[in-house]
Amino acid sequence: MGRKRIIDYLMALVIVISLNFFLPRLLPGDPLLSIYGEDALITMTPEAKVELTRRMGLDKPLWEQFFNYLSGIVKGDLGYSYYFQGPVLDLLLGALPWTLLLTGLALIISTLIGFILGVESGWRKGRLADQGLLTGFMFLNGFPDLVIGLFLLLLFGVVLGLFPLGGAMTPYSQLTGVSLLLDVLHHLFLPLSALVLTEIASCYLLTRTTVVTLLEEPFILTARAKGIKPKNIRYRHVGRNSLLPIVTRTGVRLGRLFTGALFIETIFAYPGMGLLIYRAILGRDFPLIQGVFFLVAVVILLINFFVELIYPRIDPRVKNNAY
Amino acid sequence: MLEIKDLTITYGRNTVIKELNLTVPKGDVLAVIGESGAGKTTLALSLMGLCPGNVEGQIIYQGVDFLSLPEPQRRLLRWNKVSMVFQDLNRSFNPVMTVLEQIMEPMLEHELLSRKEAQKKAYYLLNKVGLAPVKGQMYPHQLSGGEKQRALIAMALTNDPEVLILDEPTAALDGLTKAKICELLKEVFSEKTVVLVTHDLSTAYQLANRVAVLYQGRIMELGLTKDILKNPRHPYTRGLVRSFPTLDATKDLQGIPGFGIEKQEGCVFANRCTQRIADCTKIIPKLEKRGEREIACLRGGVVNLLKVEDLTKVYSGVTALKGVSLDIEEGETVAVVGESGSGKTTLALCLMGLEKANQGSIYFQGEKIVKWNKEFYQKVQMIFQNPQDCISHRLNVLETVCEPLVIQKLGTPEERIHKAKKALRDVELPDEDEFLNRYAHHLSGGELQRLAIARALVLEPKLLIADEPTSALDASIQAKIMRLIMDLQEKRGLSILFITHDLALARKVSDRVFVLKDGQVVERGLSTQIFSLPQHPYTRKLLQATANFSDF
Amino acid sequence: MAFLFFLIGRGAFVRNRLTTFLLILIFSLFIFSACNSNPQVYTIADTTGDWGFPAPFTHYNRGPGYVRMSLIFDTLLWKDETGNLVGALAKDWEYIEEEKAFIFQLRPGVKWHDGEYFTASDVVFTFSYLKKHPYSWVDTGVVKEVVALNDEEVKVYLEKDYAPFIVNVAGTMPILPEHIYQNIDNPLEYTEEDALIGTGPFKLVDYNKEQGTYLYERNDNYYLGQPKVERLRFIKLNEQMIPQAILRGEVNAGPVPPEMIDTFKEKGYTVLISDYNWNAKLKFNLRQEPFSDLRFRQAIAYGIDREKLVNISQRGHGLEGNPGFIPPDSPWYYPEVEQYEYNPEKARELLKEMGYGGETLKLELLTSARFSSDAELIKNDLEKIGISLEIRVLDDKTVDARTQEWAFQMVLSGHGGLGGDPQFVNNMVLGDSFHSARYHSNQELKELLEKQLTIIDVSERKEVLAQIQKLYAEDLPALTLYYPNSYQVRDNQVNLYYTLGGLASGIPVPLNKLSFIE
Repeated sequence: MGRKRIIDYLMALVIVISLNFFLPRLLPGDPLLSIYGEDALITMTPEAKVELTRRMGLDKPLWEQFFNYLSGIVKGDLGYSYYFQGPVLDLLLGALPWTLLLTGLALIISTLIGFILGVESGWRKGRLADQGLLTGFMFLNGFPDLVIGLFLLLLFGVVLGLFPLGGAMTPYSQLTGVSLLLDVLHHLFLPLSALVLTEIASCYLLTRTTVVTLLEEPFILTARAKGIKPKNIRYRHVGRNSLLPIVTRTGVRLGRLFTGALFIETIFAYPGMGLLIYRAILGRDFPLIQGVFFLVAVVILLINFFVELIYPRIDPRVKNNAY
Repeated sequence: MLEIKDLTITYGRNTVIKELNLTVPKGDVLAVIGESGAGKTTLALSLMGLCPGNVEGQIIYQGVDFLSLPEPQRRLLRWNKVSMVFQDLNRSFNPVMTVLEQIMEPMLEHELLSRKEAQKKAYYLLNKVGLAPVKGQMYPHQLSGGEKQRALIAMALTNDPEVLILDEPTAALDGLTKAKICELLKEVFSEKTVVLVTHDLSTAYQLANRVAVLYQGRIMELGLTKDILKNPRHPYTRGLVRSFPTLDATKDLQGIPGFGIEKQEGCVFANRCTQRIADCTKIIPKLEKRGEREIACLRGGVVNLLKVEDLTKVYSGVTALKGVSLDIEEGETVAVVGESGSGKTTLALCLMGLEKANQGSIYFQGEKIVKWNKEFYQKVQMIFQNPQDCISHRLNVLETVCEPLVIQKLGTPEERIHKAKKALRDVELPDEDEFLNRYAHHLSGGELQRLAIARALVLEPKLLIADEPTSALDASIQAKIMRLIMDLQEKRGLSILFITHDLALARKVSDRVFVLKDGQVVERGLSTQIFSLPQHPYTRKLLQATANFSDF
Repeated sequence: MAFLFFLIGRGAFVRNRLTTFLLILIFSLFIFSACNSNPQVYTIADTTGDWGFPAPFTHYNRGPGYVRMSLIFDTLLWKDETGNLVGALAKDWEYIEEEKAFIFQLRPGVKWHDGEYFTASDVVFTFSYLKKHPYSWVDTGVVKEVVALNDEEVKVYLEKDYAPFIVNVAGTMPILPEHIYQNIDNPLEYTEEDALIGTGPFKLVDYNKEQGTYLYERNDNYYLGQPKVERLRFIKLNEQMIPQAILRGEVNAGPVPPEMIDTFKEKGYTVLISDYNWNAKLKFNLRQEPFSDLRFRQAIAYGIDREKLVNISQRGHGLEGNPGFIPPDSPWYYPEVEQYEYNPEKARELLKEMGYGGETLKLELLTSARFSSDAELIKNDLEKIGISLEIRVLDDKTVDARTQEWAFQMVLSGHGGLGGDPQFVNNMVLGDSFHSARYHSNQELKELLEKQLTIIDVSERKEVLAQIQKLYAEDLPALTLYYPNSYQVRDNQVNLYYTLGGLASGIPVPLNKLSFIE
């Protein structure tokens, strides 16, 4: 990873940070109105209004707000949420672990399962198992995560009663240790499954296509001629090569998982960034919007950076000519 | 020892390999040569049991029919008994594994060696094929073409297989690398049973001791490499050799007319064969032994067209020809060279029956000629040094070309005109009415000679006797006329007896040469030999006198 | 990824073990299905969950946030089920008209959660603290001076006669412990444990922002009696899941969609129907022709079938709007106003009178997605009286912003707050928020509105309000279309109810702390 590449990333970060500041402000609507005007019971004396405007920093000119925002980021201060009345950083750090748990696990599990199914399916191209899987996943791919989530919730939560109806843990169950972990997993299972199911299809389809193409490659013929066991051909030769596009797309997929997680979190009343984003946009809570998107952008940039860093280890061909 | 019995491979409706039988004894290096699409790669893959098509028949390694085994057992034989060097060297390695890993893989996979031993052996093999150990740690894309080829060879040797199959091992390499790889392969081949699939005749010539010529999934000719490539006896093999550029060939490149047809009855080569007979499209020729080699041809290979034995001609005490013997094969150009007065023209006149030989006999298509009748002239035509001598100035172009048909009483007038026009087109003369109505004296020398050729060809003869056909023409027109004659030979399989004093010209157009001196044949042989290593002093003298631009 | 490689490359051994592990994990999850419905814990489900740290200055500026705070902090006065003010920290009160002052007799012997005694000085402190740190639920601007007459009596002098004081200040303002809050300079950011010391029936045990959960335990020494449940819990659940959770007994109370109420009734649950606290309203740009013309607004009122709106867009779960604005279940409601029964003929006549006879009038209706079916119905109705509406759907905030800036012709939106002190009528007619009609052209109405705020006597005030409603219905600064119902379901463990007129200044949440007290 050359210095130039790192500069590229920093540039991307700066652009993201700037867009992050200006885009929310292009939204029509006034944060003051959104927060204090909606509930007709709230009384706003003119003095209180001035005080609030000052506290939100909205009395200052835009460039000064931008400068404060930038210097805040440098100092690790993402600002103060109007709606939640707390530092944005605290809000994010409270929500992030849950979202990361959900999306991170979903990414790993969907990659693992989608990949294995994709390899097995591509290997059996045209046969019944492949056709079945392909049709199944095409079908699944057509459903938004929302529908899959609701379906799972209704079937396993409501009808069968196997899983809790929402939340990330049984509230105030006084569980500790292993039973707390199991409780968390128990709550995680359905939202995770919903997310995995929506993501698995794309991973599966991508893998399968790659595998089908790779199977035509002469080096597969070489491997077969060498008397390599079919399973090893599938994973050591085909699999390793078909992992490349999947790894490359990790950043994109994580972005999509984040988006998916917003809906899933809403359906399963799962704590996380979903509610934050929803509230932030609804309330024109600029610092929070900035914070959320800053965090998401940083996470995705980091993932991409990481992928680029390790990619030459997976695909030696890029080592020489990359940077 | 590898035996292939009644191997038939079909892809859907296409039969790619047809009832193929081959035996490769232990230690033998057999090259399978043929044009692309002949089924070479399919054959090679089927030997590994990797052919995706429907495979029938038997492939027997040491008494075990490989094809009858279930897949898991076949897998165990692969690389242990038979390994392969694949054609596409750029894509035959897994791009994300190091070369060493891939070389070690078959040893580990078959659990022959421990990891450490396998690594040791891999380095040994790398060294053997001339690659530095550091190349092993590289990834395939970091190696040059030649290095990849070497690595592929090293990989093929890991499990010490008895049988080695190579698919175009030199196709993607430049000349120098090719030579080095060939050297390496020669070493590697010792004590291995090898099947080498290639379209590169020189590689086959250098590496193989036997050659099987494959065409449309059938073997056309099989025998010792030297015999087959130096003296091909099957029309297809001859075509293949003629079309392959080598340094020692003198005659210009010639192709094989037409294209292979997937489905035809009888001989697969019949549609492109110039010596085919009616049976060729009905009966499938079997690969039969002819001397040292085996040939699959109903006619037993390239046939003899004309044979002259002990021909002597005496003109009033002067012996013009003295015991001349010669033969011409189907589709062959035989040059008769000699200075003026050596009896060249007498020979031509005797062959045409225009002079009666005092002694000796002439056979055409195996039959002794006693009487030179219309039937003979239909198959043998002659063109002369001075076309105006044989073209009547009272006939126009069309009438001139039609004349032989009229004499032979062939076809209706319309058919004659049709054939005449085609003959004119063949010699690249116009077939418009304006031209057809011209008279000979209105034509240039070149045109006139073309007209003479057209007239000779209108009967579609098998043999054309050309007596100094271009000596009256300037060089550029001569080149065109000769090119034309050679093309006609390629297209129609025309045999040509080319009489000339111009050795340089003879060298460019002939397959074989007879050197005539004072009515006697003093030297005969393949053009490649005569012109490079002339034995007879007279021949050498002639060659020295031949046109050249060299300073020495 | 390297880990992935490892799994893939190393073949069956590892993968089989992994599969086994996963299977065991899944099975154990099934077996471990939670079943911990503690009868001592009363659970209320909510779709949002997090409403902020339940101290007065840190709860979010929405009703449920105030309610969660109100379990911990008491006010001087509080409403009972029927909306009558009863004593809380003040056991009695009176108004001394000559002095424009209220005297509150405080309840003796009340203790803060930390054991300190509650005294009159806490009340005085609270008023002064709120002057310094405005609390958006209470406007103490009218208060001139607060004096502690003794430990158990507080006298509040007002600048003027101000009727809303009793509900909007005395009935809404949480009393703060002086010994704690005197040390807190930034209450908006202060979330330490002692910020939650109140006198209320519950104490907070835990608040989890991310999970959106609250756990309270009862204050055994509550001066009105010991609460019925030991622990009170709020959890966050998706809207669709709440009914199921109630049926399973995991949740004792929560909001349910209207379609489900019959099911719950059959099963013996109690369905709580909200009062008509919220309205959908058609607002006009009164600064523009033709909206500034009274006849036009009346024509629109005649031209829209409000009953149809309730039946179709609200599927019957609501009440047709009162042209006099105040909902019919309010004690301040006056029925004898012009009702504008659906009459397109009359509407056309009015328009004709204005000169809009021939060609169709093209107007734009601004609204947000949740009103789009209403908008379509209105468009159909108005077409019949020769008005062609173009509907523009924008997001809520944009609609609000445009309304605020007068950048609209007609706007369809809604607001709540119709349950509290009728001061809201002033806010919605004369106020300058985007919810308000900002209608100043009727001097009589303006005067009456100002007057009603100063009348402390309820029956006298009602008379004025009757006149106000009559004028409002005539002038139609805005047209109330309907008041929708919302439903909550509870089991019969605790008698939760909607407080008539809303909690405190009018919050429509069925969680009056008094329902936990015997």
